[in-house]
Amino acid sequence: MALAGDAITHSVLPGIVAGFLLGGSLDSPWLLLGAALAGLACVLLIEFLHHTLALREDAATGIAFTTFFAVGVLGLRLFASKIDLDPDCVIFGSLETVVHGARLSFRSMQVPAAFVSGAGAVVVGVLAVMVFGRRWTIGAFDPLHARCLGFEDGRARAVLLGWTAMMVTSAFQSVGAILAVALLVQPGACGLLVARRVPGVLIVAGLHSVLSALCGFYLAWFAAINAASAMVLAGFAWLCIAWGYSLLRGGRGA
Amino acid sequence: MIEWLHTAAGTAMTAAFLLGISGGLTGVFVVSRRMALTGDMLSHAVLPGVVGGILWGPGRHPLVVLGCAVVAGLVAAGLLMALMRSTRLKSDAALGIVLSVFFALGLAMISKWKPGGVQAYLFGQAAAISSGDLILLACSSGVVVLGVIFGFRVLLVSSFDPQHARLLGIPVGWVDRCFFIALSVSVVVAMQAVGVVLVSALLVTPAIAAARMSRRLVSQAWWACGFGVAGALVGVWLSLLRPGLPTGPLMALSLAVLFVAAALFGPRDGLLQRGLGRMRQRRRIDTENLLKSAWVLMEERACSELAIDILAERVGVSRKGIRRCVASLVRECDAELVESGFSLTPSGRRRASEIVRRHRLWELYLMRRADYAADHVHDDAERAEHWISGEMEQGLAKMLNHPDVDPHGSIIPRGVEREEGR
Amino acid sequence: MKEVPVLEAHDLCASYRRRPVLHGVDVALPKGVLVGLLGPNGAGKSSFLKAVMGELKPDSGWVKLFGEPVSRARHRVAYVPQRESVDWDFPVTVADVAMMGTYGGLAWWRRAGAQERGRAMEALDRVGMASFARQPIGELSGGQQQRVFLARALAQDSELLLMDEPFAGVDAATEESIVDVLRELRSAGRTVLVVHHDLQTARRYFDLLMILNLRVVAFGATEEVLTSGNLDAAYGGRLTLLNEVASRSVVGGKM
Repeated sequence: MALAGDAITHSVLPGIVAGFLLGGSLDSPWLLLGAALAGLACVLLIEFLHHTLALREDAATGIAFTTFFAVGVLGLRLFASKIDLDPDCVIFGSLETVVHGARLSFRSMQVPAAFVSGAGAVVVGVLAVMVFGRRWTIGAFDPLHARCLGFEDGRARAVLLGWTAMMVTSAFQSVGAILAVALLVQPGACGLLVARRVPGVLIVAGLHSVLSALCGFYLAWFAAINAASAMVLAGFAWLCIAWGYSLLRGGRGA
Repeated sequence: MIEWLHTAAGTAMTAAFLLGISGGLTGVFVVSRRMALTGDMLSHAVLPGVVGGILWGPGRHPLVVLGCAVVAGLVAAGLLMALMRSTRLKSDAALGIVLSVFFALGLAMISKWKPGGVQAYLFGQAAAISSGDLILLACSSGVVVLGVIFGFRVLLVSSFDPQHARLLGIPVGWVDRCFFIALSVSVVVAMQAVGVVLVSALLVTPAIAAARMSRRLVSQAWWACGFGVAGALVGVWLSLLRPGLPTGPLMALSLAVLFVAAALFGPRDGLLQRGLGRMRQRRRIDTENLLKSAWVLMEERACSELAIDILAERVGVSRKGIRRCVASLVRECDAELVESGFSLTPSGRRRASEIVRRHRLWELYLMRRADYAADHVHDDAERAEHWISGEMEQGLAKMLNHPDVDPHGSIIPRGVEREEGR
Repeated sequence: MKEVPVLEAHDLCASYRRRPVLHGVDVALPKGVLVGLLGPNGAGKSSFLKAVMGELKPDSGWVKLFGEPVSRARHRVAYVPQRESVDWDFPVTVADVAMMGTYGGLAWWRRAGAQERGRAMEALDRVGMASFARQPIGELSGGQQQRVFLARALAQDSELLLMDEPFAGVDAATEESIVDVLRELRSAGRTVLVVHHDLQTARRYFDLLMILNLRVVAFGATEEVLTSGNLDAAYGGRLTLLNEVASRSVVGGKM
C-alpha cells in the first residue's frame, strides 16, 4: 500500500490549509482533523475512480493526489495573507525550528508541542497495531480470506488509512510532506529485508526508524544540512546495510 | 507575433502549448505501460541533478540542468531496477524509497549550498521561464513528439507485448531506455512550469481523459494532446487573471475538470450516458409491463377499451405512473386515447402478444431445459421477457418444438412469421 | 544429408530465481509436426518455451533454431502467450493485435499499408474473428482472446509456432477450430509446439509428445510415449536426487 501512503502525504495539504483557516495557527487540532479527512477523501476518490470508472490503480492515484495537492497549493496562495504557512516549510519541514515553536507546560516541564503530538501519535499507533494488527496482516496478505474469516476488510483498512493520514500530518510539521513518504516506507522495507515474519518486521522497522532518526540528527549537525533530509539519507544508509545483508543471505528474502 | 512571444504571457502560453502536446503524447504511453508512478518518482528523483546543474557553473544554463537531471533520473532508475530485482520489495515500495532518498539528497544539497532559481523547479513558475528555457522546451518537445510519431509502431508493440516485440527483432531494451530518457526530459521541462508534484497531472490526466474518448491508442494519443493543450492553456490564462496565482495548480485543476467532463459525457461509457441509458431501460420495461397487463386484462374482459382506474387497481401502480406509460405507448403508436380510457392499436396488440409469447416460451424453456420447478419460473420470465430478441424467440420456439401451451396451461400466442435466411 | 532440425536443445540447464527449472534437456524437433509438451505444474514447460525464444538465458547447454543461435533466428518464431500474461486493458482492438504480427519485416520508418492489413484480416478470417476486428481485446471471451493471438501468429507466417496452454479455459468448439488451424499449419510444413495439460486430448492432437519434469522424461511418437511408466515418472513427483543435484548446480556458481 505504499502507493496509498505516497498519495496521502500529498493529499493532506488541502486539509491542512482548511484546518489552518479554521483554527488560526499551526498547532490547532483542526489541522490534524482536516488532514485526516483530506487523506481519507483522497483514498475514497481513488477507490471510486478504480471501481466505478475502471481506471487502473496507478492512474487513479495519479489524478487524485495531484488534484488534491493542486487545491491545497491554490488555497495556500489565495489565502496567503491569512495563512502563516510557508510553502517552503511544507516541502522541507522545519524540524529545527519546530522545537522552538509552541510549547505546552506539563508538570513544570516545558515540552515542545510537536513532541507531544508526536508522542501521542506513537501511543495511538502502538495501540492500533495491537488491536488491528492481525486483521491488517491477513487483509494485506489475502483480502478474500480475510473476508471469509469475517474480518470486515473495509473498516480495518479505513482505520489504517486514517491513522496513516494522522501520522503524516504530525510528521508534516517536522519533516515535510514528501519526506513523510520515506518515514512510511523505509522502516517497513528494512524490516522486510531482514526479518522473516511479521512481528520481526515490525520490530526491525521500529529499530530502523529510531536509528535513522538519531544518525540523521548527527549527520545534519555535522554536515550542516536540513535535518529531515539527513534522516532520510541516514535511513537509506541503514537500508543499504540491510539490503547487503539480505543479498548475502541468498537474495529475494530466500 | 515575436514581440508577444517575449512577453510573460506569451512565453507562458507557448510553454503551456508545448507542454500540453509533449505531456499528452508521452502520457498516453506512460499510462498504458503502467508507469504513472514512475513519472512521479522521476520528478522527485531528478532534484539532485537539477541542483547539481544549477551549481555547476555561474548562472543557470538550461541545457546543463537538463543534462544533469536526466543523469540523475537514469541513476534513480538503475537503483529502482536493482532493488526490484534483488529483493522481494514490490514496485511501489521500491519507488517510494528511491523517490524519497533522491529527493532528500536534493533537499540536503539545497539546504547546504542554497542555489538560486531552485524555487522555480520545486513549485513551478511559468512566469519565470526565460527565452532560453523556452527554446529548450521547444526543442525537447519537438524531439519527443517526432520520436513518438516515428517510433509509434515500435513503441506500441514493445509496450503491449515485449516478448513478441523481441521475436519481431525489435530491440526492446533500447526502446525502453529511450522512452525513459524521453520521459525524464518531459518531466524536467514540465517541472519548471508546474513544480515537482504536479508533473504527474500533466502526464496522467490528459491520457486518462483520452481513454474515455476512444478505445484505440492512436486516437487516444490525439485526444491526449488536445486535452493537454486545452488544460494547460486554460490554466495559464486563469493564472494571468490575478497576480500571484500559481500556474501549476490551475493547470492541474483545469485538466481534472476536462477529465470529469470526459468521464461524464464521453462516448466510451460516459457516466451520463450510462445513467440515461439505465433510465431509458427502466421506462421501456415499465411500459412493456403495462402493455402486457392491459392486453391480458382486455382479453379477460373481452373488451377493447380500458379505463385507467381499472388498470391501476389491477396492476397496483399509481394513476400518474400509468398515464405516463400510456402517453409513451401513444407516442409509439401502440395505443390510442379514447373517452373512457385507452385502447390498443393493432401494432400494440401485436407487441403485447409478443411479450406474452416470450414470457411463456421462457417459462417452458426453464422448466424443460433447466429443470426449474413450475412455481419458480414466473419471476424469472417477468425479467427475461424484456430481453429476448426476435431471433432468440424463434430459436426458443424451434428448440421447444413450437409449443402451444405454457407450463400453467395458458395458450402461447402465435408468433409473427419472419422471413427466413436474413 | 540430415535435415536441420527446426528446434534443437542439448543439455539445456536453466533456472529462475535460483530455482532450477530445466536440467539436461535434450530434444530435436523436425519440420511439419504437431508436438505436445506435457508435464505437471512447475515442470518447466513455460520456461522451455522462454528458453527457445531467448527470454531465459540457459545456465549451461544450448538451444538452436534452424541450426542457428536463438538470437539470430528468433524472427522465424511466433508465440501465442498464456492468457494470464496478457495486458487485456491495453487500448488495442482485435485488428491492431493481428496487425502486430505483420510488423516483423517492416522497417521502422515505413507505415503499415494495405498489404499488411490484408494479411492481418486474412489471418483473422482463418480463425473466425474477422467480424470482431474493431472490438477492444478486453471485451472478448476466453476462446475469442485465444483466437486473436493465434491470428497474430498466423499473420507472422513463421516456420515455428509456440503456444503456451492455448486450450486453458476455452470452450470445446474453439478448441476444435484451433486444432484444425494447427493441422493446416502442419500440412504446410510448419512446426507447432504446444504446452498442453490434458492427456486425453493429447493423444488425439499431437504427432510427437515431449514429457517434461525438470528433465525430459520421454520424447517421441505419441503412442509410444504415453505409457504408464512415463506418466508415473513425470507426474509422480520429481526424482529427489536429480532435484538435489540440479539445485546445487544452480546455487553453486553456475549462475
